[in-house]
Amino acid sequence: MSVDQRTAALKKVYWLERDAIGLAMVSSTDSSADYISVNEVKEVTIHAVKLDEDFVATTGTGSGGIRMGESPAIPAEFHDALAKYAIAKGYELNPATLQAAQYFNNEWEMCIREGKKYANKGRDGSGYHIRQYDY
Amino acid sequence: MTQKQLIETVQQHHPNLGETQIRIFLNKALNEFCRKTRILNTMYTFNTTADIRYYDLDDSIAEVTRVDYDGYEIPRLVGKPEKTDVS
Repeated sequence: MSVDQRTAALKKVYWLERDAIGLAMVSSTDSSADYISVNEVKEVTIHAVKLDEDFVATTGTGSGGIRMGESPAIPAEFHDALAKYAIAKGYELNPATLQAAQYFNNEWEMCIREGKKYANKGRDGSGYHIRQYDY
Repeated sequence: MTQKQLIETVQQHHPNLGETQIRIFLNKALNEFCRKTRILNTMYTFNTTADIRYYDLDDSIAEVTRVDYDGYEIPRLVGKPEKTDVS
């Protein structure tokens, strides 16, 4: 890629608004806060944290949700965490079993902590780092 | 574990709980797990259109972590541009 291409690309900014991504370029050379829409066709890649598909009541295989015989995309070691959450919610329905609900809620929270560690650790076994967040 | 196995695990504790209710709990758990741990990452690619400012985000996106334009990472604008353009 040429230096011009790089310079042109780096004049672009993005922001998030109303479930959409806004793209614009700085319109002046002195970088004053004035932005105009992009006037060219270029490839944009969004890196994102995504949600898994929903569980659906359908059997068989195919797209459109996680079917009865399919598994969620999260690592297999965390699949039982989902059951723990549901078990806790089930016990919360009866005031007499709130203690059991508390136990399974604690198990669920522990799985969340393990999941965060897993997500922050390199697959090569490198030390775990905390990703920065944009707020 | 498959969805069927997850439902059976829950039903060992709550035999009277129906599949539909358990599925609602499992979906809430899966969404919450993905949001809190940020464990699933992906990339979406599209092409810009001249003079179009906004592009809808896929419903499955929980959080945008980085944006590349023409192969280069671009900065996130703090706030919004002063001049509104809804195109």
